[in-house]
Amino acid sequence: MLALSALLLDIASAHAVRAISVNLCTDQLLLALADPASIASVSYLARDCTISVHCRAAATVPINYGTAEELIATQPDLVLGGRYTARHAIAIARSLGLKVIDLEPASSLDMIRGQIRDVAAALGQTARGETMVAELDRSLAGAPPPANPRPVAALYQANGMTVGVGSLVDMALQIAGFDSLARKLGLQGYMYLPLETLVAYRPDLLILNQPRARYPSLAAAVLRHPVLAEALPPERQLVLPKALWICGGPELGKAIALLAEARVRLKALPP
Amino acid sequence: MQLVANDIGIRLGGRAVLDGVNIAVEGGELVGLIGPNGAGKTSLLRALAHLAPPATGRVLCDGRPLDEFPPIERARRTAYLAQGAEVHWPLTVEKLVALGRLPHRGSWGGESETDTAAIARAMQATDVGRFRGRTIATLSGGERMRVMLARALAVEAPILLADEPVAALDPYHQLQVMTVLKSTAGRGTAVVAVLHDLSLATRFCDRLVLLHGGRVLAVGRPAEVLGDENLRTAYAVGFARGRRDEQEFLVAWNSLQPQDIGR
Amino acid sequence: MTARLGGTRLLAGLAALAIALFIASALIGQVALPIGSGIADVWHGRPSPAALILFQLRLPRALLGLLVGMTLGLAGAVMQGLLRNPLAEPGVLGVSAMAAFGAVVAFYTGLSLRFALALPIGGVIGAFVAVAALAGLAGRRGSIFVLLLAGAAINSLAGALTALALNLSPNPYAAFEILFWLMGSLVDRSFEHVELAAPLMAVGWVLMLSGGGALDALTLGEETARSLGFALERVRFRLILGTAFAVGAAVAVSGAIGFVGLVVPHLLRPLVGHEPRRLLVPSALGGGCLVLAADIAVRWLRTGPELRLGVLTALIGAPFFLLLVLRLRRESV
Repeated sequence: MLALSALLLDIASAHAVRAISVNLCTDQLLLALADPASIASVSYLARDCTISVHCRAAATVPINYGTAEELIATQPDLVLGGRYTARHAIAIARSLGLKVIDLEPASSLDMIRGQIRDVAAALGQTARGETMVAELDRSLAGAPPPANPRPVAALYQANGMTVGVGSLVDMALQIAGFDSLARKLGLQGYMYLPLETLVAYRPDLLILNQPRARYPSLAAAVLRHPVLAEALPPERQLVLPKALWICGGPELGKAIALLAEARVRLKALPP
Repeated sequence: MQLVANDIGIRLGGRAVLDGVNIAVEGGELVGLIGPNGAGKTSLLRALAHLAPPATGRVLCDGRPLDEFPPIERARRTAYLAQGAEVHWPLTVEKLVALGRLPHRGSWGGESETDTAAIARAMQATDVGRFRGRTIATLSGGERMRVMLARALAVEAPILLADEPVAALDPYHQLQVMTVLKSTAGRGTAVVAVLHDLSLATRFCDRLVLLHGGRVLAVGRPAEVLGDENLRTAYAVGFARGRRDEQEFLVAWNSLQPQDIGR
Repeated sequence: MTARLGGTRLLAGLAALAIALFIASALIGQVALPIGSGIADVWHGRPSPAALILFQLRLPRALLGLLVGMTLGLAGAVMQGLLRNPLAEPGVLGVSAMAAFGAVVAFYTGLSLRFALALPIGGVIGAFVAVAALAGLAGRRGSIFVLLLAGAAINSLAGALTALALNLSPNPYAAFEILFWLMGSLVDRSFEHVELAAPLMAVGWVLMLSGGGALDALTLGEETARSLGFALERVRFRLILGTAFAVGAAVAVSGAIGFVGLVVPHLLRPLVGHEPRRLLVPSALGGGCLVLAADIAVRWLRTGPELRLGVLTALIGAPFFLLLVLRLRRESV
C-alpha cells in the first residue's frame, strides 16, 4: 500500500517538477537523479570536466550563470543551490514563493545521504535516490580497516595549494584510512604548502588533481618541479580527479574507493 | 707620412658642400684650413679623418685609400680633435688623456709602459700635468681644450686633425694652443687645423688652404694665399694689415658690398 | 696606480660578498635544514629530504639569483654607457617588461612545451625590440627626458600587452600570474630554469663585455670615439644584442626585476673613477649581490605568501630613482 501511494505520488509530481540548479554540487545531484525533461538548467560550471563528474550530460541541457534574471525567466518549480553561492538569486527565488533547497556543504557521510534523499524527494525520484545511497554505501564497504600508524597523504594542487581540516577531501582521507599532511601541519581549508615543506615531510602518498593541464600556467608548473619526481616517485603518486571530491555527493564514494585502493598498493612498496 | 685628398666631393642635403677639392699634407708641417662659414672646412677635415666618407674622390694615406685600412689602423695613423670639449662622464684628466691610447691598447689591453710614457709626454706638451687628478668640470674653457688636445696628442699618430682648436679660447690660451700645434708639427707630425683667426693662421701655419663655396680658392704659403683679392672673394671683408716682429697680422676692417668684390 | 689597486680590491670585495650571500641564500628557506648532513647526503648521492631540498630547490634558486642579478647589473652599466645616461636600465626603460611579454607569449601559447628554448628566446626577442627602439630614439644626443618618456611608454605598452596575453590564455590561472611576470620571483625555480637561461645569458655577457672599450671612447662623443678606431654601428649592435640576450633570458625565468641595473652601477661608478669599462664587471657582481640579498630578505621577512622580488627592489630603487632625477634636474638648471 505504502509503495503504491509513493509510486502514485511520484507519477503525480514527476510531470510537474522543473528544476533549476545554480550550484555545482546540486548540479551533480540534479543531473544524476532527474530526467532531462525535468532539468530547466544547470550552472555553467557543470560543463567543466575537471570539476564536474556529469560534464557530458551537462552539455546536453541549458546552462545558467546563477543570475536572478535567468532564474525568473526559466520559471522553475524548484530551485537547487548551495548555502553560500548565488545568494541573490536564491533570495529572489524565495521572495517569489518558489520552492528552494539550499544545501549546506556536506561534512559527514550521513549529511551526504540525507541531502541525496532530500533532493530526490523534491524531484519525485525517491527510488533513484535510494539507489544512489546504496551505491555510495557499497563503495565504502570495500575499504579495508585502517592500519596503525596511518600512512600520510598530501594533496598538492596548482600554486602549491593543499586542502586541510574541515574539507571533504580531508574527510575522504580519514575514511580511506589515511592521515593528511595538512592536518598534521594544522592547516585549515585551502592553504599554501611550500614545496620545501612537502619534500621535508615526505608523505607516503602524493595526490594530484589531474595528470597534466592542457594549457600551461606557472601555477601548474610547480607540480612538475623535478624535486617532486625525485622525492615522490610515480608509484607514490595518485591522480584523484577534483571532480570526485569537490562536492559531497555520491562521487565522494568513488574517491574514497580509489584512496583505499592506493593504500593497499602502498603497503606492498618498500618504505 | 703623407695624407692626400683627391678630388673630394661631399653632398649634404642635396647641396654640394665640397667639390673637386685636392690637397696634400706632409709630416712636419702645420696646415691651416681657412675660409668663411659654410665653406666646407669642417667637412673637409672630417673627410680627411674618414668620419664622413666623400661622395666622390678618395683620401689616401701614403698612397693607400683610407677605407682600405681597418678602423684601428686608421685610428693609429690619424688623431682627431673634435670641436667643443664633449665629455659625458666625470673622468679625471689623467684618464681622459689615457683614452687617446685606445687605438694602441685595444678594448681590454692594460696600460703598457709605452702608453704611460705617451700620456706623460702629451700632458707635458700641453701643460696639464698639474690637473691630472681633477675632473674636467673643475677646469676653465682653456684648460679643458688643452686636456682635449693632450688626449689627441697621446695617440701619437703621424697625422693630427684639429677642428677649430682655438675657438672660444681667450687670447692667452689661443697662443698657447697654437704654439703646441706648431711644436707638434715640428716633431714630424702632419697637423691640419681649421682656423677662423687669420692672424694666428698667418703667424703659425706653414701653409694655408683657403676654401670658398666648397672649392679650394688658394693653396700655399700664407703670404701667397692671403692676398687682398683672395680675401675679398672669400670673406667679402676688407682687411687692415700690420707688421710686428717680422710677422704680418691681419684685422678684419670693413664688410664689402657685392659690387666691391673683384675690383 | 692607486686606481688600479682600488679596482682589484673592489672586485675581490664584491666577489667575496657575492659568495657569502650565495651561501646564505642556500641556508635560508621555509624548512629548518640540517645543513651538515644535507651536504653529506648530496655528496654521497643519498636522496634524503635535506639533500633534495638543498640540491634541487635551494641551490638552483641561489644560482639563478646570482646569474639574474649579474645580468641586470651588467645590463644597467652597459645601457648607461651606451645611451650616455645615468638613468638608463632595463627595468626603467621597459626592456625587462618587453622581455616578459615575449616570454609570456612563448609560455602561454604552449610553444615552450614543445620547444623549451622558446621561452628564453621569446624573452630575447621582446628585449631586443625594446633596446633597439630605445637606441633609435636616443639618436645622436638623446636627451634624458626623451629617453625616459620613451621608456615609460614602452613599459606601459609592454605591461598592457602582457596583461592582455594572460587574459586571453585558456588556462584560468594565467590572468593571476601577471604579478610574477611584472614583479619577478625566484620561488620554486629548478635546474631546468638554470639550464634554459644560463647559455643565452653567457652569450649576452660576452657580447656586452666586448664593447667595453667603445663605451670608454664614447665618453668623448661619437665622432671622437669613431676616430679612436671603433666601428660604432657594429659595436652598438653588439651591445644591443648582448643586452637583449642576457636580459631576455633572465626575465624569461625570473620575471621582470627592476631597478637593479639603476642602483648598482650608480653606487659603484665613483669607485671606478666613472670609467664606463671599469664599471662593467663590478656592476655585474654588485647586481648579483643585490638580487641575492633581496631574495634572502623576502624569505626572511615571512609575509604570508612570499613577497615578490621586484616589489622589494622597487621599494629601494624607485625612491633612489627619484632622488637621481632630482639631483640631475638641479645640476642641469
